[in-house]
Amino acid sequence: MDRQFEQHGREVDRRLADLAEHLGAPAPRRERIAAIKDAIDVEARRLRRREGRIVALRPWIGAAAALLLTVGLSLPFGPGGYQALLAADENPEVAFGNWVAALDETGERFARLFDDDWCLGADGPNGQENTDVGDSLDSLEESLESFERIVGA
Amino acid sequence: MEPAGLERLLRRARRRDPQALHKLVDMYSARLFGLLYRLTGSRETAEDLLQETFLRVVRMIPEYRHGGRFEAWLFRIAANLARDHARRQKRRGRPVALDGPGGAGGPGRSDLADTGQPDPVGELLKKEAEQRVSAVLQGLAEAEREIILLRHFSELSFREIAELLDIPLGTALARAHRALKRLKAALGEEV
Repeated sequence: MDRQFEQHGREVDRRLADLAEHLGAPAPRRERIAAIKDAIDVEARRLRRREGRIVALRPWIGAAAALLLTVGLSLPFGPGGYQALLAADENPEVAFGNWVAALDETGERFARLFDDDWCLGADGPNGQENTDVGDSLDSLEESLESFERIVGA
Repeated sequence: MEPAGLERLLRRARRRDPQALHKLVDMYSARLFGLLYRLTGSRETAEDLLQETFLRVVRMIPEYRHGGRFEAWLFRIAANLARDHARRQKRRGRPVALDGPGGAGGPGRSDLADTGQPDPVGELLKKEAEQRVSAVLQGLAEAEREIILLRHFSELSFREIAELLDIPLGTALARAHRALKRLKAALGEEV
């Protein structure tokens, strides 16, 4: 079977070689190659900076997780459990679902802001940052409110 | 470039060393552009996709492991981008742009590889043949065109191309065979 494939491949190559001179293509323009190299430099710099920030933030993320765990472990789970801490008309599953969704959204928004270099104060396209920051803070606030409702703070 | 040299270059590129990344552009842009140009039929589009290919390389190179051939990975990125572009064009109902030789953004003869002494009649005939080949290539099924052009520009083996496209080797060869038959039929005795 392999030999058949090899023969077939050689035959296709032979036919392709007959066409090769017609398959030539122009070279990319020099100025476009220069622009590509510039774009590569910008992207490489952006990614190196981003990776540097993630490395710098890693201990803080660990500390925040530890803090959350401590808060979670020290919650006053009395009779009736956490349901007693919810508003009377609030379904605990819905409240928890809302909180998780709000946290997800917040995480995504902050990841996007991070990618757009907002944290370094770089200008993004179309002056979009202020709206993004506002939306992100709103969704963070929303997630904290949901969390407060769940823990009854 | 010998494998050890390429490995060293890729190690630097993984750290996003600008000089190493520029070297990759110098080494591969002509062949990648040829593939993208013949797949899309447009110089502008091919140059845009060439830039996007290298930007993806910058983003994804830390995950690349130098197990197989770097070319296979690189040309897969370019071929996927060309495929996505064709799908977007189809959805928008736009025909594939076919730059005419010498036309705006088109591959004028002067752009093509130097063939030695000028021969106006020969050049004209060649130009016409290239134009016909371009038109016939654009008329082929996308999957057939892709195989022929990948083999021509990437210099990967049919086995590597089959792996790259995630199809059996027999299918890749059958598609190449069909495409060449059609090309030959469309171009008559010329080839």
